[in-house]
Amino acid sequence: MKTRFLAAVAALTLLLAACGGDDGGGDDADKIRVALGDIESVETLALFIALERVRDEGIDVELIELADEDLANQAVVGGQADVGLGAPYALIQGSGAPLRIFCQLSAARFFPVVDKATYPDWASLDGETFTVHSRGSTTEALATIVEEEEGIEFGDISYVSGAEVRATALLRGNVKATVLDIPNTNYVMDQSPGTFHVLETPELDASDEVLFANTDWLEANGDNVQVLLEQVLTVWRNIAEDPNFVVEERERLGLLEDLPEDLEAELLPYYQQGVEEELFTTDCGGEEAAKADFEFYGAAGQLEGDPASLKVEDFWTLEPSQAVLEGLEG
Amino acid sequence: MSVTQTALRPTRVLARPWVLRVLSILVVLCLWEWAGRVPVSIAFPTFTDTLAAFVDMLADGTFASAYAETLGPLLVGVGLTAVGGVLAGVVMGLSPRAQWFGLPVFIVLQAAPSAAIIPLITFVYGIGFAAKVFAVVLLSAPVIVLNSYRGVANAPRSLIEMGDSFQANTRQRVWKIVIPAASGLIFAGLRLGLAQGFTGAILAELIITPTGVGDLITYYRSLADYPRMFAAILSIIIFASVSITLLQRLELRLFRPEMRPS
Repeated sequence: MKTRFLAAVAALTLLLAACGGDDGGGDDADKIRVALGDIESVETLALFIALERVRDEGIDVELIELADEDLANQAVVGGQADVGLGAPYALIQGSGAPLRIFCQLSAARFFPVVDKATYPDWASLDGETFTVHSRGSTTEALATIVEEEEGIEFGDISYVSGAEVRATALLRGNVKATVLDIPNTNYVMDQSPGTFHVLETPELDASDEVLFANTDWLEANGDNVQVLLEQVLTVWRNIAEDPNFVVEERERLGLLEDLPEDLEAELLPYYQQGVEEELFTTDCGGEEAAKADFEFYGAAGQLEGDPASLKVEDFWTLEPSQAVLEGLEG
Repeated sequence: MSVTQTALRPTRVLARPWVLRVLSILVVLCLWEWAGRVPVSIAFPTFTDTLAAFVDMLADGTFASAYAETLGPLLVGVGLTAVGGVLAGVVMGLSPRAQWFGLPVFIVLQAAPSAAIIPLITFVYGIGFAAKVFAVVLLSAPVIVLNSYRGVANAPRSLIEMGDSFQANTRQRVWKIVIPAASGLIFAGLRLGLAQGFTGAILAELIITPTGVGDLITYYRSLADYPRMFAAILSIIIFASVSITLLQRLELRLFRPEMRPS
């Protein structure tokens, strides 16, 4: 009898543990839990500055660092985080998760870096292997767009996760043509000058990273969202005006203090190039960004249906950014 | 009449091994279905949705093409380890010097967190087929080598002494006494090595380059197509269980006839 009772208690405990979802921290009114599916780096520094400034406004910010973007998305869906970063279009459409995007942080800027001698132009890549991040990724969408615009067809699309891994593979000769981001393009060019070149990149307006959150949280935390957006847009606009702002703010706020010297040297050039390439969105993108994303992520296979028939309100909520923009510009 | 009643008693039925096995699986599947219907998470599909996705993926050839990619490095890796690992284990079992030299490496490898080591493989073997084969070898080698070593080192002393009394030479002692005596453990090592190698192949596909079954998981996760993602995971469990069970049966047939069900 006692054994049966203990077994029943154990089963109930397991059942309750299996049902556990929310960690109960979501009701803290003056706290924003941000899920970051990336490692702390030069690229995330601008966001860290904005979050630090949010803290200065009296709002506690908890940064939850996760191994990848999908896990960060899951954290937001599961209620373990309030705000996520990424491009959760497939998640919103596929799972019906009650998420809405409320600001575009950066536009997609990719660089097709190829072996100069082997592939002098896009035409020479017709029928050849082209390496991208993964199936259904934004880099694969870029390859699809290139095929359409240049009238070529890659022989094989090869998948290698991580821009830094593809950059190393390029330098080792395992890969001859791939897509990289700004830091890794610069790294490859520095490491092996004259060996590689960047082919002409198609014009892209799509998002690389957006801020998104659960609809309930957005409704219940309007004031916190306003402060977050104000600080993000202020930092982004200051960077656009003078990229040195990041260097000064990093020193002032004591951020990424253990950044190695070689990466520290990349800091200013990265933000200078980012501004030049219009990487940082200074107005949250709005409806225009949403529509560009429908086209791009549709081509990537992350969104189903005719892009023209997709409704902005099913994926975005524009009110928070509009209110902040009025405040900043008024 | 009384015989029929006895046969139908629930306790008797429950005492049958296959009934309990089927029941345990059914309980897990029912809990899965229930958890999916609650749902415990938006990303947790029901068992019926997963099963439907599984059938779809089986029918449209998704699994066939994925497993064709995954099995390449798995078979090459396990094949290489089976030959090299058994040989190394036997040599270590026969020679104390080889044991002192080689055993610590495999004991450390067995204890090491493999998921942390696999990304380092790319520094040496790049990102291609060789890296995946190495990941399979890395995971399967310790268990194959150590089992072979233990089998040989623990060969019955009485049999070896009997061979000595019949003036068997070293070759005869090894081939006719030690290896047959160790064959059960060696084969068990190969079985466990295949399971570990499969883990290595999937880890490599998840961590190094997204191909095969690992790609199915990452791809469907990125699309938030959770039934298909879980169907890919379910396929791994089924594949591993079936292949290990088949090898276990082969092992019983070849080396342990006394344990075969009559």
